[in-house]
Amino acid sequence: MSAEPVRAVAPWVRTRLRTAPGAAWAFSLLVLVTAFLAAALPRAVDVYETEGLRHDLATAPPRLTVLDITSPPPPPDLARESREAGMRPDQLAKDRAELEKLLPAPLRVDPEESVHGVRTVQRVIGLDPWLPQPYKLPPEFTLTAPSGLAEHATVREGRLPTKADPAEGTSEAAVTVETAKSLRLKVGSVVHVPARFSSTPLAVTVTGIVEPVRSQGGYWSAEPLLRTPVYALKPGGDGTRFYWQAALLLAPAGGPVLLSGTGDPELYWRLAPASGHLTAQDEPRLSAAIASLSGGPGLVKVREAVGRSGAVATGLDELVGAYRSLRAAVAPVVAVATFGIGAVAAVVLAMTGGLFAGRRAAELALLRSRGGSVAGIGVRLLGETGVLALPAAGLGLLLATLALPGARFLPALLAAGAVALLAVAVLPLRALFLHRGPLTHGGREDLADARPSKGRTVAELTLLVLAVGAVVALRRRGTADAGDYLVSAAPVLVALIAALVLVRLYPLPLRWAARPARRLRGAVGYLSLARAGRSSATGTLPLLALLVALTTAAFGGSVLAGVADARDRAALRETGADARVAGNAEAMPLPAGLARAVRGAAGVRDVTTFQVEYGIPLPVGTGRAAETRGVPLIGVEPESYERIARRTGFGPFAASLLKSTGTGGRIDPERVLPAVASPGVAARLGTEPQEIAAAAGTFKVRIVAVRTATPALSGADFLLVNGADLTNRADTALLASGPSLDGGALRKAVAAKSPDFSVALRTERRAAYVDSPMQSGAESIYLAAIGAGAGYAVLAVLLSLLQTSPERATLLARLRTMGLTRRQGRRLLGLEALPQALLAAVGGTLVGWATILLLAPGVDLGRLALSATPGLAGLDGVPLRADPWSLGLPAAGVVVLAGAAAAVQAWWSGRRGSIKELRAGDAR
Amino acid sequence: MTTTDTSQTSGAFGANEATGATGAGAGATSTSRSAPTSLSELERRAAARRDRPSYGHGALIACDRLVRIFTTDGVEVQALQGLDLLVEEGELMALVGASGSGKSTLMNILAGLDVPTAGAAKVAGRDLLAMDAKARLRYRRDVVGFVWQQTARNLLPYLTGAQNVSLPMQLRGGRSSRAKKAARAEELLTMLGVADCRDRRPHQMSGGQQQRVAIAVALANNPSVLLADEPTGELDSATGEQVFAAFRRANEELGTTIVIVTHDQAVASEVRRTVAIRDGRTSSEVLRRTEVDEEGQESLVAREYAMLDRAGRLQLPAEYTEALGMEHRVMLELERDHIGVWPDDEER
Repeated sequence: MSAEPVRAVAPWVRTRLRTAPGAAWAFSLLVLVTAFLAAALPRAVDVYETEGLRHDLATAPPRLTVLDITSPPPPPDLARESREAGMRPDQLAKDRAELEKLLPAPLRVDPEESVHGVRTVQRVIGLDPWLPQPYKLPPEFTLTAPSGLAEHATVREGRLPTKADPAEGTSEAAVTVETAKSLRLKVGSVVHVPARFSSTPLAVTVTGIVEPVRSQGGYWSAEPLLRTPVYALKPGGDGTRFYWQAALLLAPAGGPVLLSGTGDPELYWRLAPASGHLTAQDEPRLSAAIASLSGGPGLVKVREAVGRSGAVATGLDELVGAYRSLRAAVAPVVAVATFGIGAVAAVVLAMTGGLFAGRRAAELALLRSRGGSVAGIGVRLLGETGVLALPAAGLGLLLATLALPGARFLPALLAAGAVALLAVAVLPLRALFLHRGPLTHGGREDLADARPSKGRTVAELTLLVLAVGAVVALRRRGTADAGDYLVSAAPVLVALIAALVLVRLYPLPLRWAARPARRLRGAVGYLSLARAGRSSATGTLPLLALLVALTTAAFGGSVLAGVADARDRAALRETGADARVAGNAEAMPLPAGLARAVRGAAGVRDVTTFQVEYGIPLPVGTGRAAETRGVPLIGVEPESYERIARRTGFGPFAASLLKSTGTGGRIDPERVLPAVASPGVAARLGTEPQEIAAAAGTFKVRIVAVRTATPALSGADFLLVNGADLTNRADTALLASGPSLDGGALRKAVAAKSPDFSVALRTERRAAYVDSPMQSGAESIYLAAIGAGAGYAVLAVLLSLLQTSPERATLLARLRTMGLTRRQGRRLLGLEALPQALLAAVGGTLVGWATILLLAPGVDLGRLALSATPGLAGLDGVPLRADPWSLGLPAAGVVVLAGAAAAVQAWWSGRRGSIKELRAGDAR
Repeated sequence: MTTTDTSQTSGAFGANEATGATGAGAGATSTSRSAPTSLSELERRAAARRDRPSYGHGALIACDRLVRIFTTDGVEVQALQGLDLLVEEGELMALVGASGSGKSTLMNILAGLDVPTAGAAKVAGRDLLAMDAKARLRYRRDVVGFVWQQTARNLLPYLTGAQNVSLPMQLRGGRSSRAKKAARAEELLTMLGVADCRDRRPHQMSGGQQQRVAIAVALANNPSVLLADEPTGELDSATGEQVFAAFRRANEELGTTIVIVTHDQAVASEVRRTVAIRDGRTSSEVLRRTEVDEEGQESLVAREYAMLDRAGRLQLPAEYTEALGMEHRVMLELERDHIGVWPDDEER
């Protein structure tokens, strides 16, 4: 009793809350947590989708993201002065300002990394003989006059270029340190490039050597040649002649000089897009803006600004498109978790309402019979729940907003609002439904309704028919075009069907079992079976909650297991074994002793070396496959290679198939080598021996086996022969296996032999797959869904036990007066709870399995697991498979939990006195 | 002469001339005559019927051939089988009967919690069969109050005595202020001698106190009838007497009509009228009155009467019939001032 004087007229809500503070707190906490989860979910999705978009744009190579707006120089029929005026820095800057203004939202320019200027479209030849000329080929230069060089480069030597004289055909220029080193340029060097209408070449004086600032940014990396010269292969000829490509960075005023050169000058404005302000919801507008710029109203405006031949080129649309398709692939899988967890939470909230209504049935019946109206009682109950639930939901929403900043507020508000609404309304609705008419006094409350009412049967049948119809429709339509939420709701639907059917069916076997159990000596077995068979505790709701929770857990676990599995396989596919050592360029033979050194490295168990030659033209053969693409020829050492293939599971074959013909090293185009080929290659070559001409030798091959994949390469097509039979034998790569392989030691061993060889480790590749926020975000949502689902399942079990606990306490008390020992009491409660728990566990496993079967055709985990990996042979599509651990573990958990709860109750009611339960006249 | 409903019905349908002929009612005679009845004749007859005082006219509670059938899993149980009961205003009476005789069903019906299947029931001028949900709610608020057997179930455990008493006033709504409600609660508690329970919660009161507070709760909205189902069932006899005194007090001071269902002989012998229910019908009643004999000694005289229902049916007490071996049928003989009942002597 409180110290303050008690009022004669009780303030309803306050009195109620003070009466049962524990229940009130627990209810508030449940609403708080549920509202938090509900509000956090859409925000978390928003956050990772937004991060995904920003990440995709920020980490994509600048070459793809920049908006490259170009325009040819003013037409030659104009006077030279006006042509040059149109190319001057001030004019270009003015145009740039105009362009930036007309970019449609949500595109925004990152001024730091944007650049404009004049450049040559064609590279021009450096005429000076002192320039490095390997293979007697002169270097080629891109001449460009970029803006803002001073801000993007630090001068290492000399000074920045300032002067240019179009009339004279001279300009000052800067080069990067790398260019200077490779092209042997110094401050003061003069590079001559051909002029168009004059025998006097243009002279470019190097006045400074600069170091790029933020060399990976858009300014330098949109066109990497600006900072890094390329040692390029000359096309045509015998394919082995290399020459240098480099860039000379002219003074800003040097643009007009290019008019007299041969390099087709063009004006360019390379605008780097800013991504920090974009959100996932901007994606459609962003796509529209890019489309408009590359070929729509936006382009018209661009042309108004820069001239009629202005063009816009960008890879941004493809990036955004890839993002969109990833989002579309991930969203339905995430939605499955969302629906599942939402349904469980809703059912648990409904169960709390049911529990409260059940516990207060007597009180409400008294109120109703003393003249409380439906509306009056409803409003009072609404007040009670509202006072608790609304602030709790608000707090949950606030916490979610604080915990996950940078996402939309409205979906979170709606979700938390739905939770609040459900929490507030469920107790009054349930109570009013029970007490819509006043309950007669003195009715018995321990009568189990053996048969549910007709109205209930009809309602359940209707629900069942609807759910079955939805699932059948889903099955017939297929889940591949996951365009709506029917697919995502499938687990809930299947669980609903199972719950409705199982609740009706499961008492039957129990009642049958109770008959023979009657003849047993102990009473406990029969009693518990009989009670479990007639108990009203197994409502549809708790079973539904458990089934949905178990299904969600099974589905989520299977998704996570499938993703992990796909990543393992993809990583293995990429490297071919635990580690792969290959040269940094093609066709570099392994240095002598490298294989032995690798074999000796820590953790290495097996090593195989092989030779790869790419681009072998295939003869027409059977001609069934018309494509004439070059395929890689792989020369292997069959025994060790087969061991690796068997261990990885990628196209193992019997080593004897590739038995050496003993013709190694000989030049003999007529000899026939056995070969293993990919299906594509086999279809092309047919079964007859076909001639192969490769640098490794000319010979005929006969296909002896067809495999879809092989460890040596991750591509789809290959031709595998015994390396010992090749004319020119030179192994180019090696695979090493060993479960506890030490990457550092391996790298050290390889580096000691040659600096040009690098090591790829399976474990490192595996780790690299998880870099996208979309994937890790979706995964963490799954983890959270499994965790929350487990929590709600526990709650559902506890709530259903709580609901019937007074009745069981009475039973125990009565039986104890008849001589039931505590041990027997424990056994009774345990055995009674067991059938329901088993039912939920078995049902949950079945429903989870069925759901995975139902949804598997429509779920491709490939996008979730490996977004950034190009198609790997043998890994097209990662199907969803039922993961036995994910199915079994939560189900076992439910049984254990139910048993534990029963034991605790038996212990608890054994400790308490039983006077209250045995009170005469209490009808319970 | 009273016309029973059965003969009326058969007469109206004209189904059986013989039935009509045996009956002496107006309807029966009209069908036996072949001449058409004039409209004015019919109107006159209807008016005469209407103006005649109805059954139980003037009584506060009038149950007429009340039937209540429960159906559970397709099995019908007839809890009330045509029960007749009249209770005058201001009466304090008791209902007795074996378990399952229909007492509780009758109480639930009178409390407005249950609806009879057939028959007629009127309490304070309100027809219990014709009320809709709203009227029934008003009825529960204004006309009846009740006290149940389980002391713990009459009161909300988390409210104090005074709060429990003002709860029905709160539930009823209306414009009376908090202070007025509090004053009314105080007044009732004081009248019933439990003013000290004002600020106590039910678990801090004794059983008798709880039951007296429950009576105060039942009286809160000043009902015309107070129903009590075994109010002393859980109490010892001394406490039971206190509770019964509280009922008497309410009856005397507030003029509330009180119907008590009881097994308690002490209670049954305290009231003026005890009605026994057997197999869903009122079977007998005991009336008590104090007589002053020649020597000026006051003595309580109790007389048991068998109930005669409106169809003329009579329930003979089981011990009477068994004593005389009456079975199946008896012989009746109408005398000038009584009816003789003899065992069937056909076989003898």
